[in-house]
Amino acid sequence: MFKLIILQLRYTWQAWIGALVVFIAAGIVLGVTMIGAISTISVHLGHGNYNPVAFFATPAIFGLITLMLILTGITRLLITKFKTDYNLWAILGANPNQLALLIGGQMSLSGMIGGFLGYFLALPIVRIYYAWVISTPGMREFPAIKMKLQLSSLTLTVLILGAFIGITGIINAKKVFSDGHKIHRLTKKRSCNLSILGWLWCVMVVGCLAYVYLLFFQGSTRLAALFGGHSLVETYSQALLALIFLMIMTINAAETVILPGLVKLLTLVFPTTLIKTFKTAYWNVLDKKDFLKTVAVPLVIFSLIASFFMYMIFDLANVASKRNLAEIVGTLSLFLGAPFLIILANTISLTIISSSERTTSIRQLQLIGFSLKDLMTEKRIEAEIYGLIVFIQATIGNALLFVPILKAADKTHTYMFDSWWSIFEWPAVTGTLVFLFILIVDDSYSYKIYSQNRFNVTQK
Amino acid sequence: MTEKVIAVQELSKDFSLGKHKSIHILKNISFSAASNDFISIVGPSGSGKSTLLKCLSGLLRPTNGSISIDDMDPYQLSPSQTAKMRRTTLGFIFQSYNLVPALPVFENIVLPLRLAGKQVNRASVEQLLKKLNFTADMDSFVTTLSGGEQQKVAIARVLVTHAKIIFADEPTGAVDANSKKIIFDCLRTLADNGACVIMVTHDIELAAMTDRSLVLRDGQLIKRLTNPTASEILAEIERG
Ligand SMILES: Nc1ncnc2c1ncn2[C@@H]1O[C@H](COP(=O)(O)OP(=O)(O)OP(=O)(O)O)[C@@H](O)[C@H]1O
Ligand SMILES: [Mg+2]
Repeated sequence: MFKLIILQLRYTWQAWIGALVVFIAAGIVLGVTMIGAISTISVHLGHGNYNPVAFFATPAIFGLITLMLILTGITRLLITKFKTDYNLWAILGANPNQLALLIGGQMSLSGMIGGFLGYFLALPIVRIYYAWVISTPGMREFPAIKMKLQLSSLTLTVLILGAFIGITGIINAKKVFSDGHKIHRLTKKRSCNLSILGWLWCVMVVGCLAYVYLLFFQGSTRLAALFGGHSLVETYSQALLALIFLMIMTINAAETVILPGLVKLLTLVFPTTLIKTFKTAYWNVLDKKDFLKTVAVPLVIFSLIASFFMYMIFDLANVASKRNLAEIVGTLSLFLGAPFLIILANTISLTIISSSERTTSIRQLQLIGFSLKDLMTEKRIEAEIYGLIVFIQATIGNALLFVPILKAADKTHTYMFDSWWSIFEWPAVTGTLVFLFILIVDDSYSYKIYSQNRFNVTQK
Repeated sequence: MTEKVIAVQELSKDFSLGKHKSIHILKNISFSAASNDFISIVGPSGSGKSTLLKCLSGLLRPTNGSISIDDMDPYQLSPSQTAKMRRTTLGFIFQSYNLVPALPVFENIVLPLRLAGKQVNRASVEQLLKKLNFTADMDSFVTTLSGGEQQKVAIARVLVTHAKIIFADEPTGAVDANSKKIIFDCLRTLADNGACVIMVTHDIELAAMTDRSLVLRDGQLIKRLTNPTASEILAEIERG
């Protein structure tokens, strides 16, 4: 089997370059943790209240959780990309476990390569970051440690990442391959891409969300009864945490319904008649729902969490006035840095992996007379649609989040620094990033195909 | 002694086009086949031959009707049972896209054995390929092979697994006269040694050398010929 995995990986290596972006990002995160922790342990400073080992563990934990969540999308995309091949494997007698092993094995090997490369990129990062940490007020108690490359931390990074990605990949792939075989009545996709169970789950999550949401508009006693807490501030923090958790679950559960609806809504906003290529772009986006979902969901969720942390730290906890700004940035980057890096890399990976499928129409479009400029316009509009969808959805999410936060601030007599404008900040950042990534990858891909084709034509 | 290995009853297959439209590709097909049988399926292009073969072999669920292969309904098996049946009992040779592009010739041939965790004997595969008049290197990648060579690799794969039932969709479509004879003789030998071979073909000469011919037109099984002759088959196909 190992030989077969290697052969399959060698044949499809180009597709894995896309996935490598995310694996390297994960390698950087894990590398920072491992270099930090092992360097500390090897000089016997891993103890006490200011233990750098515990400090360095945080990015790895948050990073790996994020990685686990986004790997579902990547695995699906990589399977779809080579589905005719895997179908043939299945016809020749590979069972779902063997197919999952085939995918997971390839993912694990690329994960190890990503871990190896990421490890070396991590060294300058961990050096600069730690030097900054120990010179920042509030964190000066951390001991000074010389961060160095060691065989043990390199091996650990490579092995842990390989195993983690491999196992997650096998589990995800197993799910994909067994889904294809059976037709369950309850899990069969029905209207709006949701199964009966999917609908039930959706209704349940939305119900819980609505309930908690409405509680914010009533007196604090019922919230206190539900969420406990010694003080009003604590009650509201816990209620808000539950709220954001439910919002994330709602986005996850209802995405297949929300996203196509949003895309259709955009036709009303865009000057469709003015731009002749809009229709093509629009159908291209709608056609690739898998990509839309795997790109949009993590970014919207990230934007929501980032906004939530900002509100909690700057407004509700009101630390901005009490503590040093640098310290806040330090804390934020410790918790959000790793997920942010991995989610960004995920967007790039997904865009690269699916680029060839999303642009298969390029050759036909070119034949029926689209010029390179038309193609670029088409791709730009597609990228705009993706960016706008992320922006709109994240903004709506933030707006929904902001109301209870205002309520909480009111009830706990806290002064809000942020105005309503703040709900646009993170959505604008994430939306712009999606737009740019997709535009750059797709345009370079279109350009490559276009110039190749031109070359072929002139040769003949 | 022969045993019945395939039984098809009132099989039909529709493809849906859009929400409320569907087209009937196969209509009410029934027949059975036994070991030692060499059956050819003939008919005009688009009459549903490939579709029938896919339904028979467990790759495409029919809309109606029942199929049993080796006393089992292939559409009722669990995924791992399906996999086991495919690598031990069934052999596939398709019209195109027979081979896993990632693997070299040798690995393609022994893939079902590897998946079953069986012993692989390189020398015997080498001998087999020589018998098939296959001259390219065993370690070359299959994408570099000609259509006929690819077809031979697919045949070799069926040969090493000792499949009981072999489904072949135009196995001689892309090969020269000499290779055509070699491939056909191979299938003939397999049938004589106890396998059940079902072959779709456009080649009337070849169909005339099989034990039985099923003539398909517009998705209907219009004629079953036993020990057919070329002129009989031609007459059936051309009769409008
Ligand atoms: N997935 C599908 N969806 C809709 N129609 C299909 C599908 N697959 C096949 N068909 C149609 O079914 C009919 C029969 O196709 P099939 O491939 O079985 O023909 P065939 O007899 O094998 O032809 P040929 O000799 O050219 O290989 C064709 O009209 C084809 O267009
Ligand atoms: Mg056919």
